[in-house]
Amino acid sequence: MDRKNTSPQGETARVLTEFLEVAVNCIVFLKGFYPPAAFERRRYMNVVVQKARHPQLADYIHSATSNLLPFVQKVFILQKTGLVERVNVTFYDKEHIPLEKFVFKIDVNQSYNSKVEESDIGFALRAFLIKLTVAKPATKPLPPSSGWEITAYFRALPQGSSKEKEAQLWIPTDTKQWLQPPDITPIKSMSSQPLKVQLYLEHPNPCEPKKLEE
Amino acid sequence: MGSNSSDRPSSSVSSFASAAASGGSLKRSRNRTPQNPLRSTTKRKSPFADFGSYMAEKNRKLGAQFRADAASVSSLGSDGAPVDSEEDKGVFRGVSIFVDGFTIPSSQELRGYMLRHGGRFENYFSRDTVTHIICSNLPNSKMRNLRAFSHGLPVVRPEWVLHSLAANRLLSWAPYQLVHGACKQQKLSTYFRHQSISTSSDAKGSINHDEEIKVGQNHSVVPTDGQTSECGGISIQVGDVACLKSEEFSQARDANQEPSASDMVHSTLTDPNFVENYFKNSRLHFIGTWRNRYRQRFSKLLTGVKSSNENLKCHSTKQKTAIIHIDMDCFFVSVIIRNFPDLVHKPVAVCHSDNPRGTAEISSANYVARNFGVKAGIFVRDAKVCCPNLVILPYDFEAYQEVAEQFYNILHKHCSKVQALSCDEAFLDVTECDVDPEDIALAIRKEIAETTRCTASAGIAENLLLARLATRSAKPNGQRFLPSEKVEDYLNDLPVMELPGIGYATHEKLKKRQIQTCGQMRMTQKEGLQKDFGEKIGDMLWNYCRGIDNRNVGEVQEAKSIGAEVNWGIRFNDMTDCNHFLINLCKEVSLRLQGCGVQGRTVTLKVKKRKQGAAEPLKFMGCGDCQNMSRSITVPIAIDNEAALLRIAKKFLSSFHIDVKEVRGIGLHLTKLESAKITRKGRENIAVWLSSPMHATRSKCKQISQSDKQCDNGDFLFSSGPPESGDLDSSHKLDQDKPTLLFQDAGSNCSSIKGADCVRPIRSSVLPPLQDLDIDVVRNLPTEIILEMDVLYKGELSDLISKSKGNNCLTHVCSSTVSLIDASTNSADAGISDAHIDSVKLGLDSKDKGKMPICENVESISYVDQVTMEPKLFDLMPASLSQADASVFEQMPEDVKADVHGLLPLHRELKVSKDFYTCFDFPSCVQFPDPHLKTHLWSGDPPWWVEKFNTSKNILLNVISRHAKSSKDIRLSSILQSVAPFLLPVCELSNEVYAEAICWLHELLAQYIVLKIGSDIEEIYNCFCFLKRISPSSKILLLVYNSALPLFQALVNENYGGKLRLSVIQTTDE
Repeated sequence: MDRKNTSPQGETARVLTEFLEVAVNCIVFLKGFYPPAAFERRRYMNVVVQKARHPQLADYIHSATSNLLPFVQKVFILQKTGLVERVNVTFYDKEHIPLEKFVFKIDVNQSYNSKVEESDIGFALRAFLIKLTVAKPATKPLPPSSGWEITAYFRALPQGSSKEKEAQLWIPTDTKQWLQPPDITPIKSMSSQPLKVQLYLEHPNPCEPKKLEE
Repeated sequence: MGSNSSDRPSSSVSSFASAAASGGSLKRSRNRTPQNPLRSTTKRKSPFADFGSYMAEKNRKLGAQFRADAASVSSLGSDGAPVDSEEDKGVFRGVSIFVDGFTIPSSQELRGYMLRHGGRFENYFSRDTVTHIICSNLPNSKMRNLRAFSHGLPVVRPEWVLHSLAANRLLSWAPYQLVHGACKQQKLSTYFRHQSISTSSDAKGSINHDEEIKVGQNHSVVPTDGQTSECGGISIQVGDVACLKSEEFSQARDANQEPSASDMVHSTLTDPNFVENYFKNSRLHFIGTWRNRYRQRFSKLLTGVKSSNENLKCHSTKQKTAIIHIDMDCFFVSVIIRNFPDLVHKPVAVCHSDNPRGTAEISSANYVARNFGVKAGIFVRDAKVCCPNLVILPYDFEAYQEVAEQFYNILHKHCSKVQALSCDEAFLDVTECDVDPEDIALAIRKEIAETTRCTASAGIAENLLLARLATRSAKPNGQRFLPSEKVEDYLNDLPVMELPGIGYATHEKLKKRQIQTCGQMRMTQKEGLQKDFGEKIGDMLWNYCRGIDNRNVGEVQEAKSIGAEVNWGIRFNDMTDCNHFLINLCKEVSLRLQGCGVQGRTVTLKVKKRKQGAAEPLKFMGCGDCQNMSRSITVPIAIDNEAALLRIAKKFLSSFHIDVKEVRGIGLHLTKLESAKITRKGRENIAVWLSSPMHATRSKCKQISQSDKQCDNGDFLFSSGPPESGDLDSSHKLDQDKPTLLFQDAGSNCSSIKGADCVRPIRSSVLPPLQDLDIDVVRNLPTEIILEMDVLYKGELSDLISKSKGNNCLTHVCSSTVSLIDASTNSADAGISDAHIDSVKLGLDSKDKGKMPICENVESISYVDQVTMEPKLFDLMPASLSQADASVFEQMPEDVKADVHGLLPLHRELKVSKDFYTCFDFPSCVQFPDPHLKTHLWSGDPPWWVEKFNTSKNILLNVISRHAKSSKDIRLSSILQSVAPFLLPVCELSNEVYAEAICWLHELLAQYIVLKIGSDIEEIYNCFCFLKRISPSSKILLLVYNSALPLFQALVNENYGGKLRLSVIQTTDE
């Protein structure tokens, strides 16, 4: 990670991706997807968080989130925001039908030019982590043999994706879509300059057609 | 108003008029200086101290001169008419006139009459001395503000003086009131009353119309007729009534008037119902929506066609196909002139304006006119140059609809496979008929000519293209069979421009390639054409120039997009105008969507902006040279409600960052249409149900149709024969008819005619009237719902009516309109004998109001008055059949269907309008004093509402405000939480306080939602969770929660594509 990137946008994007990495770790821990022993306690922004110990898991989360960095920084011309619109942590069942989504809705104001204090954003982001640790009641238990993935939704497809190697790292998802608008449960929102993040849960609509039993 | 018109460039005339008006007002104000006799005597010797004293002196001197003249004249004339002057000193005793502007006879002659017959003549206007204002013309600005101009004095034409002299007694001036532009301009209202005008000249027709109105007015003032000559007091009273009335009339007519160069009435600036009027008068709209009506009308036949189509596929391969293309000859003209036999051989064109210098476009011209070079689409003034004695007639949409229906009835009778192209044009597939196609065509044409009295031409060939081409050479009133052997010869010399699908651009391209005729085009390779014009068009051209057309006579295609666009008459002064327009446009689009039973997912807003440096367009009020901008969004769930459309449209419009003054056209379209039936499932709750226009329609249509039928009857009776002016009955009918027209046209928010009760201040546009509710049902509803309904119906009906009729001191212009309608609907509903009394009542009513200065600013009005007088009416009927929900319509019983059909002619006769500021304030039953403040409750630091609530008389609001002030955090959730312990004791409130608090809190919450939806749903969610938690102990908060939740859910859906797990609380305790 390029720590020397000191432009305000770069700084914000770096803080954001770092935060996402921690948050995804926390979510996976929260869902009890892996045994608790697979995580270790760490401190991030002075909050106790859980971090995956398994190198493959840690690497997946790290690579996924840190690869978002160029896209968060990339300006989406039409709206003057970063290219990344949402980052989802999706839990799905064996049919690849999503059961629960943790949605980070991101809005980075790229035209914001004044100096950003990491501590200011950090303070707001910390609230997310605290709220996440107590968000268990809002979630639903997972059935056996489910899976999870990190999905990023872009505001537009990256230009010249065949050339950029960052873009090549991202593959289209197999996860199916819901047919009905989902139920939303807000968990936390922050709206400061230049970064706005909202975290909410999406669950399938009760009238979502169930898959055939046979 | 005056300044409005003067800052628009095209109207040199009207700006001049406003200057004149201000000059007039200056004059008056000078005269207003108190005339102190003492002072004027002291000033007599010295030079005048100021202008006022000079004028006073001048007036005194003029008066003295006049008296001296009068004395000499009467002494002179005493030998001429000695009895006259001795008995009562002349006809005009007690009358003092002021002549304004040019008159015939001239002001000097009038002065002479006054001298000789005991009247007085004032050179300068003064409210104190003048009793009548004489003039024959008034500028538009004065006319619009007649009361301000006349100070309530009667404004009469000079004929009154002459006729009084002739009758040798003072006649009632009421019939002589000035009606602006009466003899010059055509009124659309005349056409909508479908009189059978037997005269060829339009001008004459419009005069007729005015005389009828005069008869009507005369009638309503008749009781005081005899008294006018006796006592000035009464005559002034009547004057107030009549002036007010005539003012209303002029407004009503203005709304209908076709604008001429000097008349800027018909634009978004001045016409509050511009969008509706626009579409009502639009021919393109008629054609555009025709297809819908056609499908409703012939839906059964069409489905029949579909099923039989399948079976016939195998037949058609063997047999040679025979297609008839049938097209009415200059449909829009011939339908009109069939009633005027003398016009048949004269050049006639149809256009919505007949101003010879106007820039209205000719929409259709008959063959005589076409020979002169008059074509569809050229301006009237150009047409008049080509053909000076061109007769221009207005549209008659009802007749078009009728003829189109007859036309299709005949076609369907003769052939089962009909493809409608337009209201006057269709393809028939007569392959499987055994009869010779030429005979069929002949029979159809004959029947059309007999039934509709209009002619049609037919082309017969083996495919659609050739049939269509054949028709072209058959016109007018002929038919042509194009056998396949002759096709090649026929096409050889046919100019390519004649082929359908070849427009200007393609033609230009072909021209460059030296291709002028189909024969030349046939030389070109198919690949070459495809290379130049693209695969599809190239293919089409290649086929067409060989006379090949593979299309079948099929059924009507589904609409791919639905929307409305207005590019004419768009002029905004500020954002308010623009928003108002958007509201109406969204309503229109929403109604159309609902009419087709579809919802759309992609919303596109198109805006035409005046190009930099573009001059005022050649066409009056047209869009001119414009830069087009558009933006679209695809929302996760298909929408059709106007609130959602409005939100999106507003967002888009603001994202363009343009000056609203530069906007020349706005269009809103929806694509990605889905059937509404599928998407609507499972989203019903009581709010949706209550606000569903369909429900309202269902519950009310019968009632309306009955009451409206009465009016229609009156209308019909009246139109069936030329009115006899002496006949009392007919004038009664006029009296009924006229208010109906008035209330439709004045844009005065009423749509139901059912006794006086129909005009009732109701907050929500969709609430059913109180007396319509089944009390038994209501009693059995849960208490919560009863309470909510109680709040909704708050100002009790009877109270309101009595209040609105009695001593209210509302000065809103609207209210006077309402009371006028109120009375007029009375008269429409009551028997003929009652009509008379009611019109007197109307006079008294409006007189009360007339005393108050008319001001449009509502701020000065006290809160209670607002509640009682708010002229909100319901939106009961869609404005035209094309907009009615077809599925509902199908379900109705036959008689109701027939009623609705009769009620909704093809274009809106019913004027539905509501003036709503935001779309989600349905549960509140009070109106905010100033609509502009509503949008800014959360602006400022501390937010504006904190101060507002603090100064409110409402305890609950006070408490909230106090806590908001003390806490530094202005987040609503934390404020609510800190307030919670104090809320419960103050919940025991009287009904009014209750309603007010709910209204404000709802608004507060609604605006908060809009403010935060993009960035912080957590916060709003917290607020709602809190409200939900506390709702068992506070009914107010429960109602606020329930009323604001739909908006929240809708916005979450729009922004996040989902909904929250919150639902409307329906408690059933007690």
